[in-house]
Amino acid sequence: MVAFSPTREGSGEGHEDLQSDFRVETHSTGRVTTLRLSGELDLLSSPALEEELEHASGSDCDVILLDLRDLEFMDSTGLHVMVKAHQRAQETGRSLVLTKGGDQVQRLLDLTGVAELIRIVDSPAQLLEADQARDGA
Amino acid sequence: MSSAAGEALGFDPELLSDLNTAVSEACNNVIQHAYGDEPGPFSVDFALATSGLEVRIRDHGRGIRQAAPEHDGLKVGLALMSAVADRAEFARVPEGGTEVRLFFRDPTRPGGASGAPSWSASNAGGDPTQVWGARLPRGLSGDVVLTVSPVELLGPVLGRIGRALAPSAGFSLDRCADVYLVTDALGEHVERAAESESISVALGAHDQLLEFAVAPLRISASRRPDGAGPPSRPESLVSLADELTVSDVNGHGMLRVAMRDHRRS
Repeated sequence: MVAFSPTREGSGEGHEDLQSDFRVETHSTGRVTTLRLSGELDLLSSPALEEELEHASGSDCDVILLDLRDLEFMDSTGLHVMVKAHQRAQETGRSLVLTKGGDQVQRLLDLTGVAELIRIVDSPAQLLEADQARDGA
Repeated sequence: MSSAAGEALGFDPELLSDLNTAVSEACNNVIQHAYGDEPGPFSVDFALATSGLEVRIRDHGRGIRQAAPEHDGLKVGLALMSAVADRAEFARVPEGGTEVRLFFRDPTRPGGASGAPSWSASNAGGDPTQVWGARLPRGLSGDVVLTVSPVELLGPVLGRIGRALAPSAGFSLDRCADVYLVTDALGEHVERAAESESISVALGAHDQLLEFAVAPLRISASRRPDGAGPPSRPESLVSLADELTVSDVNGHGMLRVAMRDHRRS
């Protein structure tokens, strides 16, 4: 399911910096709801993520995975949305997990200590494997 | 965001990334906190120093000490700026407001690999508005006035500031995807047409309109090839902008580019 999609796709074909528009694609597999983020998460786009997280927290999933691999930029407003989502997940018996982001995103997570607060995996597959290993143990 | 121009200028890509992180935080702080619930004017100055880059962000709002205790977001923003910059200072402006001074050391530049980062000699100890503000070309005004030296730095930093302002213009996320197209094209045009090593951009954001007024540009760069008639318009921007004008302000070329969010107007 495409949760949010800008309408000006392809407005600058061939331009290397065109992926700055923000998108969230949401899909659920088993007990994991994955929100795949791309573009730039900032003051402008953070409300869109907040809205999608609100929808996700209304589902019956156990884990919300924010896939940051395609996220190009994040500022403290995006970080704030993630920390709030982590707190809300804990309150409702769920967990919020992040995949590693690009250099700028990961630097922000490391500098602010959020990388210590929220579980981070390399990829969605790693989360699945880790959880399968845990369930099989 | 465009980093090609900055890298071509010899800046470390990681430095440009940190620069945009810090500038984004500084702009957010002013937009969200400096003037209470209303946005207000501020200036951003970038200047090349021997060992790196200096950035100054100045507003005339209520001052950082008054806003800080109420907002965790502001505290995180300040901490982030301090973390990514090699030196960060947050000073109260005597006539009201705050000036954020950031220094980014570039290890690829002479003197950038070692030693304590310091402000450039031309600004140390003086009133930055007198030194930096004097460069502001006549005819420019806006919600944000950005001054950049050298001009090649404009492309790498203008997009992030434009995007930070877009919410104040009431832009939708859809339209914001085009902000970088315009700012990258502006940066390329300025590299060709700038009158001097320093360029100023006045950014205005209101009523689904985001506008950029850029000066000083060489008048000759805007003249039609046959030398007749009014100044011609940069073709790379014509297809991207909703409004575009080239004018002569006291002998200096000024380019005004406006974007509208038609979906909301």
